[in-house]
Amino acid sequence: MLRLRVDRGKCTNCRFCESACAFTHTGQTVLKNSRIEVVQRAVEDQSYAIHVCHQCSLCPPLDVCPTGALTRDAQTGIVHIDTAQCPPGCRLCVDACPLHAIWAGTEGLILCDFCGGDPECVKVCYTEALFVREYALTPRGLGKHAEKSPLRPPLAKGGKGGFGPADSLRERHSG
Amino acid sequence: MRRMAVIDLAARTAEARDVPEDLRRRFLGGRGINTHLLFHAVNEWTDPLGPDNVLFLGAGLLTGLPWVGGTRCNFTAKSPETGHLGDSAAGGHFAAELRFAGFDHLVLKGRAGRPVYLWIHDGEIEFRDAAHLEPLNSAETQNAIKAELGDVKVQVAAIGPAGRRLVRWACIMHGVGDAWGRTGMGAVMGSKNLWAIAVRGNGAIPVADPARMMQVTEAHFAQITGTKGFLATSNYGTLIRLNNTRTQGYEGGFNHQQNMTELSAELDSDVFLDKYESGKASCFNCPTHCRHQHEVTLRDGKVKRGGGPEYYGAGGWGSQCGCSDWPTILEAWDYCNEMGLDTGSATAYTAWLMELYEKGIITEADTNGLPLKWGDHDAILGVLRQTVERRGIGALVADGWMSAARRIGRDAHRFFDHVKGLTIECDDVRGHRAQVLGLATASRGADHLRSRFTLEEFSLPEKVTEKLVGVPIPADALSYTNKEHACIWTEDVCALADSLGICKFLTKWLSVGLLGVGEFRDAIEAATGMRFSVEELMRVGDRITNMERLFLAREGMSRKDDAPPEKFTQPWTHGPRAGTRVEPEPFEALLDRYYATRGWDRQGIPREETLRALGLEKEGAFLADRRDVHFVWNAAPAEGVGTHAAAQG
Repeated sequence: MLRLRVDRGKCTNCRFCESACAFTHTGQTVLKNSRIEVVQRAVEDQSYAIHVCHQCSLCPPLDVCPTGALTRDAQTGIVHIDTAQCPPGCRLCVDACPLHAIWAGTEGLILCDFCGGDPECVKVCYTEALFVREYALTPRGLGKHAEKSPLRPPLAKGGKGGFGPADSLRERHSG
Repeated sequence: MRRMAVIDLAARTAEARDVPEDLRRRFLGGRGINTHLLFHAVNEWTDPLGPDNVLFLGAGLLTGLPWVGGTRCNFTAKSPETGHLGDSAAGGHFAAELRFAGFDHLVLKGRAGRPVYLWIHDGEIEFRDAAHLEPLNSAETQNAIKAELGDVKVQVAAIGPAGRRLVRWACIMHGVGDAWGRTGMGAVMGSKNLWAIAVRGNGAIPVADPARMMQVTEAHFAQITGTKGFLATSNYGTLIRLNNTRTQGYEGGFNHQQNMTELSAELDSDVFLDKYESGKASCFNCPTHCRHQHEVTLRDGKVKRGGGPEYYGAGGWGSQCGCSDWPTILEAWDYCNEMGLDTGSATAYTAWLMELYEKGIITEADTNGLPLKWGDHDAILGVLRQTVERRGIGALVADGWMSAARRIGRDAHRFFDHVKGLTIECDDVRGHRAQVLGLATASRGADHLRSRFTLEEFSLPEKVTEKLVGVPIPADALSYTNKEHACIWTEDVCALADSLGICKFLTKWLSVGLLGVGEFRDAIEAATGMRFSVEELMRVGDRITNMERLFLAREGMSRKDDAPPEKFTQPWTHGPRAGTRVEPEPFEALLDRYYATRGWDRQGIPREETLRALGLEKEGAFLADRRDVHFVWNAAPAEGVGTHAAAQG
């Protein structure tokens, strides 16, 4: 079962994911309609918040949705939103999502639909801050993940090059 | 549809206009349209810091699109530092957000009665009081505005204390590391009492053919990330040049007195990456993420985090000022960014003052008792602090090097390396003929981002350069043959890149495998529906270059100003290529061929037929009265500084 994963220590805030997402979904450049967002709070911040649906096994928005507008696809495990069923003005899921992955676009609430299994944001993320992982499905939810299959040859060769500093930044933030 | 906002700061009015398609076809956007508008908005008598000067902000034609690296916009005005064409580009997220906010060009006129900042959001423009931002530096100003407007996604371009105090080489800052640095645009903004521009919007940028746009983006993304040099540029950024110039023997040291120094072991980009780099940052939609972020422990024990440095700072305070201490370089770099000083000029001014001090032309009496010893931490920071505070030696150099040189006297101007009043970069390119020519002819003054034929350094086979430029360029950097074609090609490609809003790190300016004019054409067609052929696009580049030339000609500049710095006629002192210098005779012949190929006369003034072919005859009409005058002026070139800009002050 494929899942979108985020390694925010590697993010360099280029926001190409936002552009690619908004453009492939709507054919327009309105970044508000992107299903992923990268936020730099203060100008001197060197790490960025990446808000996107992780397709968690335990999904609070699914529990709070009063109308069933949010549904989980049994096959893929992706949570979809059907804005036609949203009660007007209801933003319960927006508040319930701990990852801030649901917000209002120009036409109703939006969240990541995983692009049918081949996310555009991952394609344009050169630093691999966004990547896709295969997980085993167990009766209790997602099991162990397989090794990340690299989208392109590894950047780091012989310890130099690649994203050593960004990696250390990630350790600092995860610690 | 592209929109332009004409903003009168004195009257506090703003008016939205459409940018005519005809203008877009002729000048694309960004630098091209800015230059055209500036030409018509000011004249040769306009005071750069007066209310009559007009500041233009222009986003590139392809800025903000889901394309690779459409990040940049240009600030253009008459320069207070050089006295003529002022123009500076920067990346980051500001330009894209400006377009999302509904505007592609801003025309900033007049002078506000009290400090204001502009809040531009979703097609609306508000004037807001800025007086409370007085104690804040450029980064704090941006954060304060974000907090005040209640939106972290607001992007701000702000001046720092230097710009507010009208230091003539002040820059405009965005974030902690993006600066519209060269030619003192920050001082122009300060003179207008405009302290910041904040933008935010959710508007759509129309795309003519979305499906084609996605194909083009995918192809260009693969092309850029697939080049051999990509890992190097994304890893080292501009600092790659620290190592390049050193290994090839032209790093330039001690205010260009030497071509190599012995400081180099520590001054290495790998040392920076290992010890001080804390991360990388990207501009909008750019996979290259070449910008460094650093974390450094300063002398007083404080830990400082910031953006950068770029090569200008590292090479400038490094080999040029004789400092091999990274914490000092980073502290100076951060100080410049916070105060809003152009690091390009800051490094050159510091190196210049250090040479003057070494030669005894200035003493401690001029510097408030600060000994300006080469490489000294206190000297480097002291010069910058005194400049921002306008005391000591800073009171002199804050008004630009020309004014300082006049007041210091004793031939101080002869030690300042410049072209058309703008400092040359820290490396020493006198062994590369096309680059020297590019330095001499660059429109805004000595510049690597207008005209440096970078490919000359790679000794490419002639058949590669022939495919690119149309004429075989000798692999030998020291040859003068055909170098005029290389320079013209680079100037036109750079003009195109600036007008499209793409960074030159993604173009053939840097490497043969990157985006060229053919790729520009594809992206323009997909995004805007405007069809060009490669030749037509090159003619647009030619037109922009000629437009800038007309601006310079109106300012009284001509062949006498297309000269490399005086020090370049002296031989290199060190290394395997010692003795290399720019020989006047072949260089003048090269310049003649350059003018002839461009269709300019021997004085570097565009000929009538050249202008007519480019559709610039209206703009060039003033030349009819002036052609003879230029010859008279040039008959006896002035001694010393010699430029019109110096005379104007």
